[in-house]
Order: sequence, then structure tokens, then C-alpha cells
Amino acid sequence: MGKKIFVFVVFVIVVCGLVFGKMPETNLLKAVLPQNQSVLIKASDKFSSAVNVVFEGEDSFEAEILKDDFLNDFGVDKVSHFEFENLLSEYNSARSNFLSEKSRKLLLDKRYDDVFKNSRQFLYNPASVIVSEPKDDPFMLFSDFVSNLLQKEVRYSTDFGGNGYAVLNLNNLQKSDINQLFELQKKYSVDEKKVYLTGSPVHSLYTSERSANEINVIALFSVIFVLTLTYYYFRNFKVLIPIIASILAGIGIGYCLTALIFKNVHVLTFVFSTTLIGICVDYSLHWFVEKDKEKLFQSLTDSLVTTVAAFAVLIFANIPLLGQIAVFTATGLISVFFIVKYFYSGLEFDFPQKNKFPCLKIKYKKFILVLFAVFIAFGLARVKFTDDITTLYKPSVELALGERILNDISLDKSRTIVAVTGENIQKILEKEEQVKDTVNAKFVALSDFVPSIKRQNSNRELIEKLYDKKLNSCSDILSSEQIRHLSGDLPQKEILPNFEKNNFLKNFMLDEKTSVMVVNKDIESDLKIDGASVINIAKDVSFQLEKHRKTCVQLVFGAFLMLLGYLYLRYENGAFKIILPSICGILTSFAALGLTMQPVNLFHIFAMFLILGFTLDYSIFRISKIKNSADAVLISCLTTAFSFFLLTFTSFKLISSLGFVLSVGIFSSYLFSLILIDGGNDEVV
Amino acid sequence: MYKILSIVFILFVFAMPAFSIVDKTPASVVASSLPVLQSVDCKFVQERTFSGSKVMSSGDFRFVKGKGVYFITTYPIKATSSYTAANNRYINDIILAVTKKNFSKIDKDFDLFLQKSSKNSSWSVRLMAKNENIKNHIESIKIFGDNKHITQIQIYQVNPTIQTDIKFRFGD
Repeated sequence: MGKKIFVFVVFVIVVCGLVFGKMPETNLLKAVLPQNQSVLIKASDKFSSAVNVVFEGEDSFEAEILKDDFLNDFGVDKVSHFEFENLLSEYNSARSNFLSEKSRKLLLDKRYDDVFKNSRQFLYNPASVIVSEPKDDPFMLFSDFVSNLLQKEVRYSTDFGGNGYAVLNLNNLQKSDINQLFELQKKYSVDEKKVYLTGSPVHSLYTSERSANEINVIALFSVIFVLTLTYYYFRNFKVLIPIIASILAGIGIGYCLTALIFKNVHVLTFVFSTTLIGICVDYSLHWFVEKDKEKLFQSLTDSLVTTVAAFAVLIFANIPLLGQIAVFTATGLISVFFIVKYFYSGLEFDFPQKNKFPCLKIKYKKFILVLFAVFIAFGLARVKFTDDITTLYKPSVELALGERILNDISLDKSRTIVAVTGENIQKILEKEEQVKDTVNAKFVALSDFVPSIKRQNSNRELIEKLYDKKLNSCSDILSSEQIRHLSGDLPQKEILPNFEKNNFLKNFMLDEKTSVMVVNKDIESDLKIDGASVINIAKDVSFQLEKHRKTCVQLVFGAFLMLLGYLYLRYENGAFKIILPSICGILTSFAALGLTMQPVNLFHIFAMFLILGFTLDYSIFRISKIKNSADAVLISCLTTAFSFFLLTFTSFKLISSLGFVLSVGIFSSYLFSLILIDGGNDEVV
Repeated sequence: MYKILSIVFILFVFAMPAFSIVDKTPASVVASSLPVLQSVDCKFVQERTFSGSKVMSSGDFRFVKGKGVYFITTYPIKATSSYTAANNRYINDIILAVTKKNFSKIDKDFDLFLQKSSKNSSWSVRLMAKNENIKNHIESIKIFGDNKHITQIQIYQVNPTIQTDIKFRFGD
């Protein structure tokens, strides 16, 4: 009956999961930030999706030419341009609606003489771009406005440190585009000319491809190790078939239920779900080595309950990734447990030449414990915490050089992003203008290109006042008839943002009700403007990571207490003995981080749950004194710890440091279980 | 009237051999035909003609090879604009293209027409806008020069109709 119910439940989960599940999510922030941080996620998406290609040449002109050649090869149509001509033709009919920030300020301060002086400097400068005739715009205000817009949009080439540089900004690129950029980089980096690629998508692709190669090599070594160990012990490879099948089924069912609940399963959930392999292998191995099935299932049940409980605590963290890991792992574990229970009983394997591991007693237990205690004390004293997301990743020398050059040649080193929310586009524009009026800095914002209707009307009134006061002084370029023609009310026409015609404007929108402004200034404090908030992506993310790290530490203590309570009900005084090796293992792994000068981050705290989940089994089976369990525990520990140890050699900092912590934690927990728990006569080292 | 037309025609015919006209000159030919130009400090005179009005200005011009141009207006008002200013960008690009004899940057937006004098070292390159967006605002740019310098730049703008004529005076 139980078997039928299990099959039915699995069938329902798999069908629903496959029907309702969506593509895996890859955004790291979506993994760690709760839903109420959607503006931060969207802003990060927008700004981290940009790729800046830096061109280095003999001088800026050569760099510009290199940029043009590169762009022609890459595809001009892939670049979103500011359609200057589109705006110009539309705005010309309402040119008195537009003023540059500088001119507007002068007019507001009634500094009409300065406006006049600026206009003449503009007019007489041979290099000025004049877009309206003096008879229509005697103070060159519209030309000044357009000139300012051009400066905002275009990223100019520059000379720095004896070389010339040009920058090409690319957005919303596909993976194939970034691959093409890498190929073109090789093609165009010849002799004195160099091309550098910068931006998150470039780092992501470079790192993921390098990591993929490394993980393939590591997986190969892991498989060889597991196969060798299995063959050494069982003298039979057939035993691997049900083990692998049960793990795959566990992962499949875990994925389906997670997809059913969360829709988009995060790719990191898959990475962490590999822990299922290590835990689920235990169940199968214990089944094959232990004859007393009844006693075995008592211990297996305890192992399942404690591990599921450790992961279940993660649901309360309000971190999407942790919730997914909890559901994924718990479902997988329960599934494998029932697969072993209901389907393994029919399997018969003959292990005629099964090798036992050598039986060794651990001597000098107290001395070893003292050594560990000293190691832990020294290590923990050196532990430092970090929530800086940049410490999770160390770029290659070449990519780091590109980022450094881009930073060196940037005119504005300070930059703050401000998100502005409003009921409709006019409200958004008005709030943007309010921010600009409050903060004394340079901006790049939607309202620079299309002012609000309110601002357009105000600009027109200011120009009317200027004409009223100062038009007569324009007799140097205007006839009396032209002066008379300009006097009086200016024509009224409202210009609205046309996102369809001017695609470029869409770059400023996060969604229909939120826009982003870029301010060339560090703004630390709150703007105190309703609907406008400063977004410091690195700082905000670090703040969230710190918050989650602290929550997770509390949850770990909660998990320990809960498990202790459960184990007390089952083992009474043995409960603390069972949990102690895992605690010591976790402390050892954190001490190792301290001694190797690696700061502890949120992901290391996650690792505490994983170590707990992995290693409680070792103690449970040891304290249960099940006859053959020692071998199964040792195989499980060796395969799991070795796999994680190999991960320490990956170049991706996050993965390598997790591999380090887990391998140290798992192996030391195993050693502590041998030292602290009496396993009867089957001592194995 | 007939006599006047005849004189004009004769003058035109006689003037023809003085310039060899090449239609739509390839950028590589323009580059190889122009002399190597030097950095220079000189005076400039600018004349801007709008529909119905004209403004004039003058001042100092500095061209630093490999860097760009500076216009220091001294008449009728004082103003300076360096090559780094965004306003100067397009004129800077054109002068740099001519002096570096590398037209690949402007070749995409303009058709090039080279005229070289067979009598002396003077030359001119006319840039006719071929990019539709540029065409809406700039009809053409004409650059004149001799064996050492750029001597004159004429910019013909449309919408609004503005003609800018910048002459460079050396040795003043």
C-alpha cells in the first residue's frame, strides 16, 4: 500500500513539475534577494548587462578608428544609438520647450546678460553645432540644449598615459555575441593596438567556460575515484546501477517539486543539489552492506529526519535560493529513502570477494583532540566576515586590466543610480526633475531628453521673459522685423516621450512605472523625495548579504536545537554525542578559513547546513553500532569529501572556497565521530 | 548677353585644365594624394551665413598633430574651445582624418571627391553626406589645403540652412 501511494505521489509531482516548471534562473541576485527587492534586481540587471569594449591605440583617433573597424565587423545594428536626428526633427517645432540645465538655472536666476554672453560664445565658436537659425533662436538656447544632449549620450575617446582610448558601449547581448567579441578581440589586438572587454556578461561567460572545463576534469577524477573505491570494496560494478538510478530519480523528483512550487528553479539550486549524491549514496551503500535491515531502517529513518530537518530550517530564511535548496534536497532525500525501502528489496547482488577496510583503533585520542582544540582556537580567532559580493570572484589578469583601464579613462569616477517611481510617465519625469533640482550634479536621465509637460511649459515661460527683457539687444543678428516677430507669446506644443520611435529612451526605464537616472556624484544619504531612491548596487547587495548571513547563523542555532531535541527523543543521553562531531567539524572548517585568511561569507554559512546534513549520519550509524555500517560510512565520507576537495582547485572563488570548507568540514566531522563516539569493535580509519 | 555667356564659357573652359576632377574618390586614393601636414599655430577667420544674416569671428587656431584642434575666438568676443570639447568633435574628426591621411572614419558617412591642382600644390576634398541622417543636417563639407596646411574649411548645413566658412591665415 505504502509503495503504491509513493508511486502515485511521485507520478503527480513529476507530471505537474514538468508541466508548470520554467527555464532555470541564472541571476545571482534573484537567488539571494527576496521579491520585495525587485527594483534592485532590475537595476542590477540593466547595469550589469552592459559590455564596454575598450580600444587602445597610438592616440584617441587611432583608437576611434579601431573601434569603428571592430564595430563594423561585429555588426552596427547590434548597437542601440541615440537617434539624435529623430529627436531633432520632432523638437524643432517646439524648440522653446527645451533648455539645458545650465541655461534654465541662469534664466531662473534672471541672469539674462550671462545667457546673452553664452549665446554669443556659442555663435562665434567655429566648432559649435548650430541647429536653429538666429532668427528663430537668437540666444542659441535650442542649439545649447542639443549640444548638451550630445555630450550626455556620446562617450568620447580620450588620451591617457601616453595612449589613446575609445570605448564602445553594448547592451543586451546574447551569448553568441559575447563569443564573437572574444574572437574579434583576438583579431584586432595586434601590434600597438589592443582591445579589452569589460562588464559582467564578459566575466560571466569567461568564468563559466573556464569553470565548465575545470568541472569536467574534476568530475572525471571524481568518477574514477568512486569507481575504484567501489570496485575495491565490492569487486563488482553492477552495484553502481541501482545507486546511480536512485540518485537520478531523487534529483528528478526534487527538481519537479521545486519547479512546481517556485516555477523558476535557480541554477545554484542545481549546484547545491549535488549534495544529494553524497547523502543518497549512504542509503544505498548501507543497504548493500548491512544484513540486519530492520535495525538499518531505524538508523536510516533517524538519518533522514535529521537531514531533512536541517534543510527544512532554510525555508524560514526568506531567501529564495535557500527555500529552493530546502525543498529540492528534502524531496530528493525522502524519494531516495523510499526507493531504497520499496524497490531495493528485490535486488540481489553477490559480493564474493568483498574487501573489508583495515581495522585500526585510533590511539592518543586525547592528544588528537587537544591538537584540534588548539587548531580551532587559533583559526577561529582569525576568522573575519565579509559581505562584499566582489570577494566571491577574482577576475583573470587580462579582464582585471581591462576594468582598470576603463576606470582610469572614465571622466566621472563617481556614479550613483537613482530609481524613480511614478504612476505614469509624466509623474516619473516630474520626480526626476525634482531630483535634479535637489542634487547639484551632472545627470543622465530620461527627463534630459524629454522634459515633463510641466517643465516644458515652464521653460517656454522663462524664454518668453528673456525675450521680453533682452530681445532688443539681439540687433547684432536680428532685424527689427525679426525682433518684432519673436516678441509676444511663443507657440505652445507639447512633446511626449515616443518610445517606439526613439528606442534609445527605453534604456532609461526599468519597467512602466520606474525609471533610472545616473548621477555623476556619490550620493550616500536618502534623497527625501517620495518615489526616488538611491540604488548603490554593490552596497545594497552587500547589505542584503549581511542581513541574510546573520539570519542564517540564527537558523543554524535553531537547526542545532531542533535536531538535538529530536535526537534526545530517540537516543536520550546520546543525542549530544551524535551532534558534537558535526559541530566540531563545522568549527574546524571555519578555523581552516581563518588560518588560510579567507573571510567568511554567506555561502560559507550555507555550508554549515550542508556539513550538518552530511555528517550527522556518520554519528548516527556509529552510535547505532550496526555491524557493517562503518565501511559504508567510510566510503560515503571518502567519496563526498574527495569530490568537494577537488572543487578547491577551481578558479571560481565561490566554488573553490565552498569546496574547501565542505571537504574540511566533512572529513573532520568523520574523524571526530571516530574519536568521540564509541563504535564497538569495528573501528575503521 | 550672348557676349557675357561666351566670356563665362571661355573662362570656364580655360580654367578646366587647372584642376583634374575625380568623381567619388576612393578613401585610399585621397589618403595617398594628400601631403603630410604639420602641427600649426595660426589665425582663423570664420564667416557664418544664415538666411538673411551673417556673423563673423576671428581668433587663434592651434592644431596639434595626433591630438586635435583648439579655437581661441578673440573677436568679437573671447572664448576658447579645446579639442576635447564635445562640440568640436565632428570638425576635429575631419581635420584629424586629413592630417593623418586616414579616412576610414568619415568614409562611412561621406562620399569623398578629391580635386588637385595641376599647377600648384593646392588641393581640395569635398565630403558629400551619404548617410541619410547626416544628409538631413549637413549637405557637404569642403576642405582646402596646400602642401603644408589646411587652408580653408567650408561647411554647408541644411535644416537650417547655414554656411560656415573658416579660413586659416599663416604667417600673420
